[in-house]
Amino acid sequence: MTDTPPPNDPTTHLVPARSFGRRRIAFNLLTVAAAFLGVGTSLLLQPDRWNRAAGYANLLASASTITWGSIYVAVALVMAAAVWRPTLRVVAVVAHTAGIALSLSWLIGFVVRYLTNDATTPLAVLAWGAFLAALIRSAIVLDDGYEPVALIHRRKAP
Amino acid sequence: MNTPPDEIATALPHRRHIVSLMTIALGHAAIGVALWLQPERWFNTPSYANLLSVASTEVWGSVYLAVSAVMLLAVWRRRNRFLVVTAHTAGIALVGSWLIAFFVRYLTDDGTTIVNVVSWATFLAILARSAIIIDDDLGTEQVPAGESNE
Repeated sequence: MTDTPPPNDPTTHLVPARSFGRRRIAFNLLTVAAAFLGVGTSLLLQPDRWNRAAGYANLLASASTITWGSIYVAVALVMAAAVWRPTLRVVAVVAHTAGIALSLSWLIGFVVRYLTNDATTPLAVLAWGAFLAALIRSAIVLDDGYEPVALIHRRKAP
Repeated sequence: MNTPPDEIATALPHRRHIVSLMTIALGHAAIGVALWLQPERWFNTPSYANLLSVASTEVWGSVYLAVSAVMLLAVWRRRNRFLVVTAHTAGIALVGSWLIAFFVRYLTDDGTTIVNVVSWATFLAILARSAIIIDDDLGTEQVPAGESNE
């Protein structure tokens, strides 16, 4: 760790610390991507479990487990690509947009199911709310990776 | 630049762990309230049978509300390291125990989905990340001397 000199030290100048945003995006995106990959794989490989659970009836009425599973896996892969290529802004924007749209649609489905079915708990609502919050937070800090978000001291070249 | 650099340096890590802790605290508060006010919903869902055989909905609801209160207190008094560490430890212990129970239930009951396992693993990841960055300061983010940052 470099010692931080006093703010008015003439031998130093301030430079932007550019790594904050990218690392934060990577954590949030990777976490949600892993979760989406788990959900997608389960939808594709274990459709009977999903068809038996009461909480997903609304969502599985609008599309099959194969369709939803494919969507989840595709979105997870786009998110992973965005983490892998952090400088490609278009991939990051597409990953966040797709993730937010998918999370939001399922969140609405769970809220409707929770309000209309006494046998469901709010856990799915909370979980998808957390995914959505993580993605929105990641989208907000997206440009922090490309713009200066903090200034750090650095020794001036002699 | 009006804000002293040292102030910027200490503000960023605190803001990061507060967002994570607030998110989990609000989630825990909602689960605690639901466990207290809607116990029949929890009894009707097979996924929670293991957990509800260990303790009643009132007990689990109280635990969730207590942990949520400690987390909110840690957000409010974010400079109090003891409180922040206690909040993270309690949160990780609670989320970890429920995650293990959901995993066991998922492996032993064909009527459950992987959603709860994935959700609690996400909560655990967020809490673990929050705990890791508590002690972050700007020094760890500094560019090594001689390396270009432009």
